[in-house]
Amino acid sequence: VSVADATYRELIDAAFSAAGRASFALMRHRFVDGQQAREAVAAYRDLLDAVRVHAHYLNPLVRREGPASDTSASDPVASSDTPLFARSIAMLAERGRRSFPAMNRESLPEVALLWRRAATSLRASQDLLDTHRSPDFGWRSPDAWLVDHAKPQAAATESLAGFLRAIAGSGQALALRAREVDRTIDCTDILDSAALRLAAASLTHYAHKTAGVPALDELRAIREAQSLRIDGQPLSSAVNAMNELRQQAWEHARSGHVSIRTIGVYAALATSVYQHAAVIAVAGAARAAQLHLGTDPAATSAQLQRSSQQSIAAAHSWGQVRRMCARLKTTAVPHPEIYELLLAVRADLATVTRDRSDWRQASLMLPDADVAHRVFTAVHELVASLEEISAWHQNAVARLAEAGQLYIAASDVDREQISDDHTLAAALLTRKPIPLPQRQTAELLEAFAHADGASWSAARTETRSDSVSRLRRPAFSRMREMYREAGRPNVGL
Amino acid sequence: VADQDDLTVADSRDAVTELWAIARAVEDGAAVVAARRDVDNDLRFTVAASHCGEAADELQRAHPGIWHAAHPHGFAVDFLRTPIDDATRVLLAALGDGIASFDVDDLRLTPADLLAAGTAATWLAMAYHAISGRLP
Repeated sequence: VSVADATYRELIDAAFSAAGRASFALMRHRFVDGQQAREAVAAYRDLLDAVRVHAHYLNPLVRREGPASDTSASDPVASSDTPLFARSIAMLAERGRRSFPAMNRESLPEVALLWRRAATSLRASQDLLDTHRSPDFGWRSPDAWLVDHAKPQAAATESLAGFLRAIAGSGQALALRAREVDRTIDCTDILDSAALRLAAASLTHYAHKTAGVPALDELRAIREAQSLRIDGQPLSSAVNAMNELRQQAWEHARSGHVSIRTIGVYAALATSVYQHAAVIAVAGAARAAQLHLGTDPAATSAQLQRSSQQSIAAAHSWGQVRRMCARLKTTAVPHPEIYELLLAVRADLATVTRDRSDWRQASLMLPDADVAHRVFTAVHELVASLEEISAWHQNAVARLAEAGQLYIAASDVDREQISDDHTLAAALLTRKPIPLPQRQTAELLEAFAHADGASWSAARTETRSDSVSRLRRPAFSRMREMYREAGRPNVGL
Repeated sequence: VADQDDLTVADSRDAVTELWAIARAVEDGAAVVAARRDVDNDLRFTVAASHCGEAADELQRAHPGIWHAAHPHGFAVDFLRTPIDDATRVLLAALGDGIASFDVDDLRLTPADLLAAGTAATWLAMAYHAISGRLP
């Protein structure tokens, strides 16, 4: 996995592997001269600095207040008021030092190379998270809220604390090894590993204050997330297009100029995707026994039937929303690229489900278990994205309604309403759009709430169909479920 | 005495389990030597046993059930009766072998395995240092 394609976890794992290998390299090879030893010590200090910076980055409180300005680093128990986190940072700051290799890479001892590699991976993982933020710590992606959320931070901090505990002892061994060739090398502070172990323990303790959810592990850099290309898989074009739609929907729902027309396009998208998802689930239910889907094919079949029903209900709800949106008037400029992405999703789904104007037979749609798993995994991703988009748009429409920014042609209003309101009658004569009356606004909001609930039901059913599909982001699904249950589905907006 | 034949491998084990078995075996062996009346400097063996315990603990953190799957290696010497110098050589050889024979390129190792094994190897090296006064 290249750095550009990697997830946060893959970069952290690369640091783990490099540090583990470095420990063996240190024990297996002696330094040939003082220069090599100095390079190794510098690389180790650079790794400690990378850990400090990363721990610091993961903790917004310390970032805001500055790194342990009131902390006595040499006496970690001096102040009982000093936060555990700040103590760890201060102890790391005393020993870590950012540096670059003074020698050619070819001349560096293996242990130094590996520690440099571990530090680079750690820094790259931080850069990855940073791509989701703007320079002023604002959000640039629908996943950015995870970077600022205590639960993912706690899980990442705990992992980092484990890493620090693991490399703490290497400093002692390094100091002993370095002194074999040069006793003047400055490494007395790392000879005693107790302080670093204490720093690691403090970090762990700090992380345990919050029940962590490792949702950062699943994150990719925003550029990759937006244009994540999953090729060579069934429905890969649909998933790629949906990733772009997810980003655009999030940006649109946050913007100050929300367009009901654009929301209507997304409603059409949802209608289409849920229709195809229902057909695919029915096909899966029919083929479950033949393809041995899940540990209990009969149970899997029943689950897929339920999933199909949920998708049909969601398709109906979004169809209703789409029709209501189509009647509303707006002066907002349409976004043709969103409609093109919708067409791309629909066309790719049709390659799986349609034979010209007919639905494809189940045996052709899902010819074998492998294809079935891949198709269901892709459908799960599509439905998961729609669930988020649904929540964002429900919120956006509520904002539009509250601001009185929903309009309708006067000719589309009931005659009774026009008779009761002379301004509506005037608008009808002048053919001007009128603010959406209270009753229709309430109906629209109710339709959105109903469709959003149906989307959540469909997504939850899909999430529980893990016997036939693979969750690409299980921790993220847990976070969504948590906020849905708390009545805050638009988290991250 | 101090050659590889002293390590009795009862069955095939993966790299992490093998390292754990060595750590536990040297921990037990060093503790026995440390308790002998004829040892001059028992502290170095006590410290070595402690370091080996840390090494085993490190691996057990990564694989909590490791003790179900493995048993400490048996040594071909009786640490209660073997001359101290020979016992020392056996323990050092076991530690050195444990560090040298671990295959860091084993594709079955997860990153967490590698990190834990590296930490365990560091503890084993410190045990080696405690006994001999130098690193392997």
